[in-house]
Amino acid sequence: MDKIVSTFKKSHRPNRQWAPPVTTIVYHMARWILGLVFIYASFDKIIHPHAFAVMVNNYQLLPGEIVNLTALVLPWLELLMGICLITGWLMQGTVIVSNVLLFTFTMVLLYNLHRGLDISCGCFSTSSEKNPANMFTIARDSGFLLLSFYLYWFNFVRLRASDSRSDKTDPTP
Amino acid sequence: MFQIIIQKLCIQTFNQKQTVFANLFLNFLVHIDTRKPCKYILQMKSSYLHINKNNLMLQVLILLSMAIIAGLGTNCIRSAPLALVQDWSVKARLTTADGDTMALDLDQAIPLYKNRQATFVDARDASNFHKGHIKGALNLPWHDVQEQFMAVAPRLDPELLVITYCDGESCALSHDLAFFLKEMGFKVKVMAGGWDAWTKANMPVTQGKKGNLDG
Repeated sequence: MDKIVSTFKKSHRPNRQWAPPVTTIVYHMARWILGLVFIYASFDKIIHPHAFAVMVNNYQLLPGEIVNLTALVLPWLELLMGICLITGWLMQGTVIVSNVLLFTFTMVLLYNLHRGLDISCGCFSTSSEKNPANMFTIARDSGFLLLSFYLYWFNFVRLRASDSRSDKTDPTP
Repeated sequence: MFQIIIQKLCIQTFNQKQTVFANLFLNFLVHIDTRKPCKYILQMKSSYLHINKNNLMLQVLILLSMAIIAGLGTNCIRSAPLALVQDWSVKARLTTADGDTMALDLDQAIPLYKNRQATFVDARDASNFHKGHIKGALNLPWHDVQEQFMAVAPRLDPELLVITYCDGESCALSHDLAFFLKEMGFKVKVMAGGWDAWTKANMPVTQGKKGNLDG
């Protein structure tokens, strides 16, 4: 009888498991959005490696020897990161790489705008005519960087904090 | 020994849900291998959110190596694979398959300019052109080439050499434009040094909206 009463009491307690906080929903949305963006960005580059290599070279930042290697590997890295973000595999590693990558992209775009280099962005498409790198592309990249940083915060700060809290209250063997 | 290494890798790399699958897979392997009941059972972490540095490094390494394998692998099976190392210098890029180069040095361009043996075409966008361009040059921005070509084409003499230029060595607009104009049947060269080299050599420049051949 006591057991029944106690379970009844328990069921009336606010249960965090059944009412996910808004941040969790936002987290999953951010994860999906960034994942889809990475997958969408990778397709055209995987299909047209020659055109993408020209774009990488146009940035004039990498030595000629590693331009082609970057043009071959980077789109696949983006695709894998997209898949990992959506499925949740290797999540923490992916979040770190995506932060580093997006930060680099944003900095490179900023640097080239500062230099006054008139080149195409090559962010989503390898056709050079209608995608100049400008303030809009920088703003867009910064937005993605913010999303990515949110994922970092969620994975490394928030979850860790809640984890240590639950460890204290509910010691597991 | 092999199983223990995999086991450790799995524990470090995957989260709880994935550990279950990894566990199943590993038991399957071991079972096939030794025909003995499964005894390698991965210990699930009490909390899969636990993060340590090795785990993180390993995840990043796995991601990078998968990307490298996929990128290089698909390049190998592609019908027209990209050369892993390629000469990206301006001269090499402007050399066509028959060994003919379109690159032109400033020293070669100056006599052509002085003797009016060539038409100079600025491949930068209109705002940069207005700020300053080679005196007498025409503006055909590469970004708007489809729209503006018909307006500029009548002013290009098919008998005369066309020399395209843009900002400098690092700028590829003039190269793209040169290939385009070559396709259209013009004799084209690219002044690789571009606007930077031209202004450094104190050659005649002008500002304003319209490029004028007589100006």
